[in-house]
Amino acid sequence: MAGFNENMDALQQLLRRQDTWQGPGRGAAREERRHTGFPALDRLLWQGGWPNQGLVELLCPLPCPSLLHLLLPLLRRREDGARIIANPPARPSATALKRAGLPLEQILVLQARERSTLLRACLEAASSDTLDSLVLWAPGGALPTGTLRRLHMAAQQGRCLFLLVRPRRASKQPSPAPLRLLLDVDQPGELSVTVGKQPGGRHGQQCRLVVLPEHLRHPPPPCATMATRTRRPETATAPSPLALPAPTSEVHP
Amino acid sequence: MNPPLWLALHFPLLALEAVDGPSPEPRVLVRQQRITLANAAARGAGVSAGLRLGTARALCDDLQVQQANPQREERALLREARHLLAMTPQVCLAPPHTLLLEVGGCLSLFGGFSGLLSRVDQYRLHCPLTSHLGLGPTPLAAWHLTELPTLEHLPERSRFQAWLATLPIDTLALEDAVKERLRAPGFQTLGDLFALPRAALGKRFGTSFLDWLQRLLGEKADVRRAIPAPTPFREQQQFDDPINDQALLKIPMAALLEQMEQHLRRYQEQVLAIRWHLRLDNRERHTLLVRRARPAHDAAGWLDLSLRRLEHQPLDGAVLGLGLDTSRPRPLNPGLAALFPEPGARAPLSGLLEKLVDTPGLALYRPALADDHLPEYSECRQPPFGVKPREPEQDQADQDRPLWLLESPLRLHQDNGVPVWRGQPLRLFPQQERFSQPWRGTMPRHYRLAHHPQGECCWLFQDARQQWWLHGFF
Repeated sequence: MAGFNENMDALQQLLRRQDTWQGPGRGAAREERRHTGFPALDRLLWQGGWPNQGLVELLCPLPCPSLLHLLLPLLRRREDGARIIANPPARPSATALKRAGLPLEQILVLQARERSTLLRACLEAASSDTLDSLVLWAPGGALPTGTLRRLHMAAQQGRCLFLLVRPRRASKQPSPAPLRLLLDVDQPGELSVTVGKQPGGRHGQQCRLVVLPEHLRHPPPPCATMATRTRRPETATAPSPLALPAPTSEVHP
Repeated sequence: MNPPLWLALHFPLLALEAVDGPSPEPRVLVRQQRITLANAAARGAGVSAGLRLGTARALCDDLQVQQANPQREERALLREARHLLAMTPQVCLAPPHTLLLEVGGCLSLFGGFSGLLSRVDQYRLHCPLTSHLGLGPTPLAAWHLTELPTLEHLPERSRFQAWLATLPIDTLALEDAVKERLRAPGFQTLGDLFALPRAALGKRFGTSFLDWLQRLLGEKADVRRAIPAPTPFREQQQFDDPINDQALLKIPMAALLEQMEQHLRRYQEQVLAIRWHLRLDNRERHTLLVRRARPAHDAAGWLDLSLRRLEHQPLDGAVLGLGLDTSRPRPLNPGLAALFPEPGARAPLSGLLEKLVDTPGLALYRPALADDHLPEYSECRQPPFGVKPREPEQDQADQDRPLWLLESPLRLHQDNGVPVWRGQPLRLFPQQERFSQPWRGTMPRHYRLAHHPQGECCWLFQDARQQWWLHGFF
């Protein structure tokens, strides 16, 4: 009996470790969730949303401009802690971010010339316990498992959600990230999300998300342009700045 | 050596103007529901000191009411005094609202008396406070002689005496009881007292009055303490043996920072940035800037950041000398620390920013809006430290704007007038939006939306030469 108790203690100890993978059923992780802002994606994720902290991999064909739309609800949440967008492929537009309701004073953009500087800065930022979330577009070159594990541990230590955007080909490489999502853009403004891996849940489920408003996804029907087609040329309607010459009725010989 | 000459600068409306300068609106200072001070606009409306606040409001509809804030007035006065240190080292505070400057010693610096007066006029023109100027051979004389005629040359001492003699007893800066006792025997002006024997004056009106009169007339020294000039810390250290190992620099750096902390503590100051000067044996000099999010004076914090900064600085040679100087010192004003921090509260972001902001090869910025029309100028990169610029008002909120902007527009090839990106033609939307800003020297642009076959929603424009440019993505 004593041996059984010892075994149970050892088992409990093992279960308390953060890196022990637990299947569904009695996961404590269900309590902590952040909604993604897309109900279809929330249903897909076993936790009902983004995890509170740790590494999440987003695998997509780069550059994937629509990807940031997926993250806007996450960045918009009223939480203390800053948000860092690191190594973005282009400049995130302040106007659009502001219109999407993001608190601009809490958003920082980080860029680095060298890959090692970038990774070190991200590691430091994630572990500093000052960030709510960090989105990193992975720099070129391979990311070894050790680096990914360090990023994950740093994000857990700093209570930060670390979203790592990587190219699709990285899906073949095993990763210590608990959650991996595969993204595809088939139609403009639509993202199809496939779960590559998730803690306590199944993989392989798929859903389709609409990230752009209707008028940006489909060109308007041709009749909408009829007005512009039938409009008279501007020169005909525009008043002339010069006074018209007085009409001459007759020409006298 | 020139005889002493004192300037007095009175700021009579300091209490009203300490915060945001002179106001064209009527504004009053109120204490216990009574007006104590009114500016020119308020006086023009009939409001004067001593009125009840209710009466003043009845006289003047849009009256702005302020309460006295002695600390702020003191700060404003000290700020002006520090400005005036550029003119003379002898600037004395005479609270509540006067500054006294000894300028006799710097007459030749400004090219004589008229040069000095024009310099003072220039200062008063740019000074954010209403000021009156007084001039005299002693500090108290300068205080009183504010209504002098226009002067071309430095007046002689006897002329000052004559002007002082005409001062009515009522206008003197004395206690009311003393003035009452002076008026009782029939004295009307200060000149009536000049000829009287000093000992009798002291016996009759008190020694403090006699002391005041003698200081006014220059018969007795009037010693005043000038404000100290701010002293930035600057120190350097030479090494007998050149230091090759960067790690060894920690010890002299810590010693210099310890000196800096002592210096700052002595003057109750703190600084926002420090600069290290490294002198190498290959005749190179490196300057390392270390900044903090808010002013600080602790050596340990500065040492941490300095060592971090040093790590990223490759040094080609051995270090021969090390220098340290600081930015402009600010008054020490330690922030309030939370006694019981919120459980689960995050650490302040400034700690992280301080570490990252000066790392070479790393750019950190906040995206911010700017007041301009063209898309690439309508936003700016705001440094993470520093003042927040005024946010422009949002306009054209109904127009679609892309989420991503390319750093510079990308020139697109064309195939029969259709723009091509990544080898595939773009499908253009019919709507156009026109941007034109001739004063920037740019051509008018016609922006269109377009879909790429691979699923991107692009924002591109056509310039006046029918050339297509890709500018952003939705």
